[in-house]
Amino acid sequence: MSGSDEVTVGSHDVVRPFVMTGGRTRAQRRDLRLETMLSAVPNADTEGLGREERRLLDVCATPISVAEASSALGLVVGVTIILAADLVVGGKMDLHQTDPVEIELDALSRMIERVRSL
Amino acid sequence: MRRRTRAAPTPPRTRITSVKFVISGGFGAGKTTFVHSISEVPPLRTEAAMTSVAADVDARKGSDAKTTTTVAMDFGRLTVDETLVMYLFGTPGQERFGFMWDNITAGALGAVILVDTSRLDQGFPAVDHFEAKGIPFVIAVNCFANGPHHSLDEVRGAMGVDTSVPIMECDARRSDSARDVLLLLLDHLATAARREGVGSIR
Repeated sequence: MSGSDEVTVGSHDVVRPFVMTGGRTRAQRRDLRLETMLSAVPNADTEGLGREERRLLDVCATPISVAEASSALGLVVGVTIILAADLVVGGKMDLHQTDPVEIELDALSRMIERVRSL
Repeated sequence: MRRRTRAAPTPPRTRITSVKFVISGGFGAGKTTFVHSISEVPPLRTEAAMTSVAADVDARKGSDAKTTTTVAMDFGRLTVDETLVMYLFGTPGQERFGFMWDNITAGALGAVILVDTSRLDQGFPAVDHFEAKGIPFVIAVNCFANGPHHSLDEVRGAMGVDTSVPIMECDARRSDSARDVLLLLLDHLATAARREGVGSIR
């Protein structure tokens, strides 16, 4: 008997998750990851955008990660990444680029302080 | 009515650095519990879809790419300050989801491998993965009440890692214990960063 656990598996028609992307399963940008922070460009023109893209811009009114946005909208991560990449290309979404190799000792020290405070 | 912005998009005023840590280990090793112990918000859940390659692996239906499977991942968040956020992602616990790990762990700053002493072998795929990807990791032996006791040296030997990999015991249910594991990882990263900064690797 294995414990609790953290994995749940469901089966869906493949069409369903990706219908919002016009069937595409690849993003226009390859630099979006689970933890990438997204910010909607203020007052961007939303004309012609689909419902899910608008919802995504709405939840990204304040900076939020790809994973959190997916969770908030009930979207599969891959779909969020495709939609977000489209919006970035269209100038409606900003990425807070994060390259882990650029993490400095100072940032590590701040993380250590924060974790110590738990 | 049309709304237009003519100005070129400007970067967000405050750029937030988001850092990912991965909490890994075998099925039932306590990953979600660990994330729960650390996260400042109740752990969130999100789903990733299986790729078509994976659909072949899962021969459940013997059908083609008409079906896909989604795997749930739990994750937590720890805000350091207005420009720095830490995320902790639990990897799916079953080996057949190993193909997903690349997507989850890409760009991770470090990892914790949680080990259940009654199922040490379930930690092997995680060790292999992080070694192959060059992602620094520490091992935390989650002490279950009824699990067999192994010394840390025994666990280290069984996992096939040398003394450069930090290892400690923990109780993933306790936030102070989970905190200590995360600190072990952060110290490990800081030590490596300082060494590189000084450029004095033996």
